[in-house]
Amino acid sequence: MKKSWFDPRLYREGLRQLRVIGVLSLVLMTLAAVLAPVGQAIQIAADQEIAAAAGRNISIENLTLLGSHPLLLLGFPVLAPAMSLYLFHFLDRREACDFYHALPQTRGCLYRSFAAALLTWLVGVLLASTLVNMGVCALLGRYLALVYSSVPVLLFNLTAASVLVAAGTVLAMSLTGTVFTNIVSALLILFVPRIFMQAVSSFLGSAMPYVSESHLFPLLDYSWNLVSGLPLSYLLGTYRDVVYGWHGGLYTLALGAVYLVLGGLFFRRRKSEAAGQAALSRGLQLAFRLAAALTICLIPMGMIFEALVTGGGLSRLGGSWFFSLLVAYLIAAIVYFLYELISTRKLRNLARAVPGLGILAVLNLVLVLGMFGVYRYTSAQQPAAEEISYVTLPSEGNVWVSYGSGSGGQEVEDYFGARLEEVRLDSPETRQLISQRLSQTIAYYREDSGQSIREMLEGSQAWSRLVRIQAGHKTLYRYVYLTEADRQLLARELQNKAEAAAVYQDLPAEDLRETWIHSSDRLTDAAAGRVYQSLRQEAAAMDFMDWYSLVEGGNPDLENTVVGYLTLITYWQNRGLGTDLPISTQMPETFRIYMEEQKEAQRQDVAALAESLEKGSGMLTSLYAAGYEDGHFAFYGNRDFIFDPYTEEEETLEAEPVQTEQEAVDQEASTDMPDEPAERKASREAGEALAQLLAARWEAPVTGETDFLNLELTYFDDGEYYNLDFYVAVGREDIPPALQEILMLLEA
Amino acid sequence: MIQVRGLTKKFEDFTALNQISCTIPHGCVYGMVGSNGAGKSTFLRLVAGVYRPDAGQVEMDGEPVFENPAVKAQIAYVPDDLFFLGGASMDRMARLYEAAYPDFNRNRYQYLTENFGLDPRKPVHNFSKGMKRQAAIVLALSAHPRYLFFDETFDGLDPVMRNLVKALICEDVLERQATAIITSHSLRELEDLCDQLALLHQGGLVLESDVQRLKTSLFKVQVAFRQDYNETLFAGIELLHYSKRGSVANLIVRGQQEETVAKISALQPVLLDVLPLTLEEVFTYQMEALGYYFDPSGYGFVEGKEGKHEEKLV
Repeated sequence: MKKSWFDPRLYREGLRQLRVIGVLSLVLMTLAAVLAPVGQAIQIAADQEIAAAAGRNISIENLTLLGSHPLLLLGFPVLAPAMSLYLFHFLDRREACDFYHALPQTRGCLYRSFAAALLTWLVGVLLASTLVNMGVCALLGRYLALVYSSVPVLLFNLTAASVLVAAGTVLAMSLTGTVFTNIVSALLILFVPRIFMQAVSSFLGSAMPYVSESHLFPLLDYSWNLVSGLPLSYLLGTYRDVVYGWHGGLYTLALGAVYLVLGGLFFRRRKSEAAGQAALSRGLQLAFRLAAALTICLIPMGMIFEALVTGGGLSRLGGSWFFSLLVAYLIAAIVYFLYELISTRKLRNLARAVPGLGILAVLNLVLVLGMFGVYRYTSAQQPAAEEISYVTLPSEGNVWVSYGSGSGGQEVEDYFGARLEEVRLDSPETRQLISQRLSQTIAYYREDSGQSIREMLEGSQAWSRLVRIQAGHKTLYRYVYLTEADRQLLARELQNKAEAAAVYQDLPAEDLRETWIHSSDRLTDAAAGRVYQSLRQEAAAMDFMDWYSLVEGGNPDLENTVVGYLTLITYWQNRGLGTDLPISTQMPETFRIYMEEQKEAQRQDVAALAESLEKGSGMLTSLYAAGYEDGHFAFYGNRDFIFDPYTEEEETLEAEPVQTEQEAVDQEASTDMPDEPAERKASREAGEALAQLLAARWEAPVTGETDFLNLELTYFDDGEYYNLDFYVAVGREDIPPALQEILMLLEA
Repeated sequence: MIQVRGLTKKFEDFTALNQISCTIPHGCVYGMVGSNGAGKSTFLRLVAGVYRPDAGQVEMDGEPVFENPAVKAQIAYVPDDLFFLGGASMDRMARLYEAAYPDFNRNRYQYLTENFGLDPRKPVHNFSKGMKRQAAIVLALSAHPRYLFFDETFDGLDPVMRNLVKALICEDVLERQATAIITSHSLRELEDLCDQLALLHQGGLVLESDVQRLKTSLFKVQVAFRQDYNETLFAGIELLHYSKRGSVANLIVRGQQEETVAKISALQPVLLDVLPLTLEEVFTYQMEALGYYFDPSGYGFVEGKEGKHEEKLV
């Protein structure tokens, strides 16, 4: 019998041993993979039915794999540790450990064969349930659409996270010999390094608010490690950044592979007699003790670091600071000894553990001084303009886009922000500006001059913006304060960059696989798609600055031409991006199509309104009018009619009590009390005028060249309120005088 | 052939085995006895390749055992603490053995299972202590091993089963020239089974001999003299034990019987009888010399003070 690297028979034995837990997991995960989309489809079908009855449209739901199969998230926190602890539990029992070590295979072969069986079950369960989920989503295509591009990245990332947890657990089991120490050391292995990185990053970040914590040391960012990053990102609301990036999955998988290799090394070196012992050796036991205590020491270390950064001497700190420090270190020492006591259950070991406190103290000192060194070095990084090669503007976070009259929406990364990340701004003006603003921002935080940042920058407004500064071989991510003038300078340079222009003017085509268009009002998705086709063409042909201003704002004259929005949702480089695209009179064809679609969508509702007003059965309860002249918002007027529509006009009159003189005086003094008969009268007059207007102008096409009116109203008929929002080709002079009077039109 | 040279094993500060050396030929049943904690189980784990020696070597036919699948495939090791998969039946365990041992023989497994009267489909955890041990023996023997290592194997077995196991071991040894190492507290169990016996004490091999020679190397002498005498009279004779009641003294002597008799005869005793010792008595006196006595109530060798021991003997 030769020494073999891997034994298929032992591998099959490993699979057999995991069969119960594996099949159970598979059944549960597959059930979840079926039930989650079915449940959502039932909900969407119900919503669609309700919407259809109300004459509205609800688009199908776009779901990422995480949306359609949320239980996939259970892979790494539940399945991976459970399977690992189950399969390798023999390492904790002396007789079992002896049995496996007596088998005619090398320990390395046993480890590899069993680890392979473990990973096979894990990946198999995740993959099989995902495939089932994809199949179910395909069958339910009428109600929901699975974003297929999200499948590989999510499956890969969650599998990588599961591999890391399994590897970390197996490594911990190779190092320790009881279930308690297995679990504690697995948690230490999986989380303590990341907790340290996060704490160090946070200490440095709070000492230097101008530094982007996530970029200070690339691997310090929590998004790299999915196992610790996912829980944290859920708390911070940034899980999309973590779960949709390949980088996190790749790093996590690589770390998992390293842990697996380490686990193998320790498994081979592990003595059979270590089963039932807290750790393989005293050295390892010390390492685990130190790791547990050092985690608590992060609190006093942070206090000391903060004191060093703020300076001012010990006298400034006060007695309570020292007391808190003492208490924190006392807790750390208790944790240090408690770990020893619980894991070894021998009181005499406490005395042996005392010298390790010296190592703990040295580690504290090294870490605090290390952080202070990084602080000094980083804050001194203030490149001059000539040292800066270029500057880019990284995407700063997520936006919420809503669609379907507010009934739907999702949080996505800003489309333009994400696409502009790599555009390099390298003009001398920009480099000079960023260099100067960085120095001023650092000075603002470091020197307590008493001036506000606006005073320092001599601007009426100032806001912080993340910039990436490339200075030679160094890349700095810094938050610098910019004024409005600074922002305009950056926008002007962006305008001159072809790649930036392409981002704005070469919008992605709607393909209903990775790019979808929704309407923010009552248009169906199909209608919104037709409008978008035209918008793409006109955006491409439009003057860049005009389109840029329409999209980004900042030009009130152009903002006044916007009448509505389309919502663009797209997946680009596995990032969910989205933005609201304006419908403006500056895009004549798009505007025309948009108005036609609007008219078509509201034809029945407006006809019902006209009929209701003509017959007198309906009563307006509120009316808002916005008038557009030469394609610009020009005037507006609004009126709420305050009366109780549930009572008849006659009843109101009959119920009118006879007022005393005093009561009449009181009513006159009260501005809140409307004169209900007068309100009803105004409502009737406005309704009649509106009915007249609709009869005359409803069919007239609304174009960017004609004057038009946007009417938002609520009316009451047959015991129900109805809301409408539509456009009519009516100029100011065509509005019936009665309506003009009631609305009390004002210039915009 | 098993060759053990300078074998040492430590557990932190405790030395379980210290510089053990022995040679066990093919076709030999090697019995190992010793007090609690003497290192018998540790020795078996080392020769089975479970433990890595801290020093020294264990070789089988010139090949090291540790991390050597080719050698370990020929070993069946039945420890004192048995292991079975959670909820597993004998059939399930047989599949595990099949996966691990290339020579595992299904027919032999079925034959032995039937012979022992065990239900192969019943969960092993529902078996009695003795049945569990039988199951472990059946599984181990089904792997057709060339080396059989049994740790306290007869514990919990009824006399019928003991004999059956002994017969099976003898069968393997005789038919296939297998080598067996058996540890036990019960010298009676080993007496009729082993070719060689070894005595372990505090990690050291204090005695190793074939059973026949061992029985003749120690013997009991009853002697009486007219005059008053004490232990000093027998200077030059290796006494393991001396006790005197009235004028009659009992001597446990190590050495050549004829030579010893000649020496005592020269002292002109009025009584001189040489009595044979059972194997148990041989070991009892060997251990007594090391500060242990044999507790007949079933605790085997237990540590005791010399004074107390003498009182008991007297």
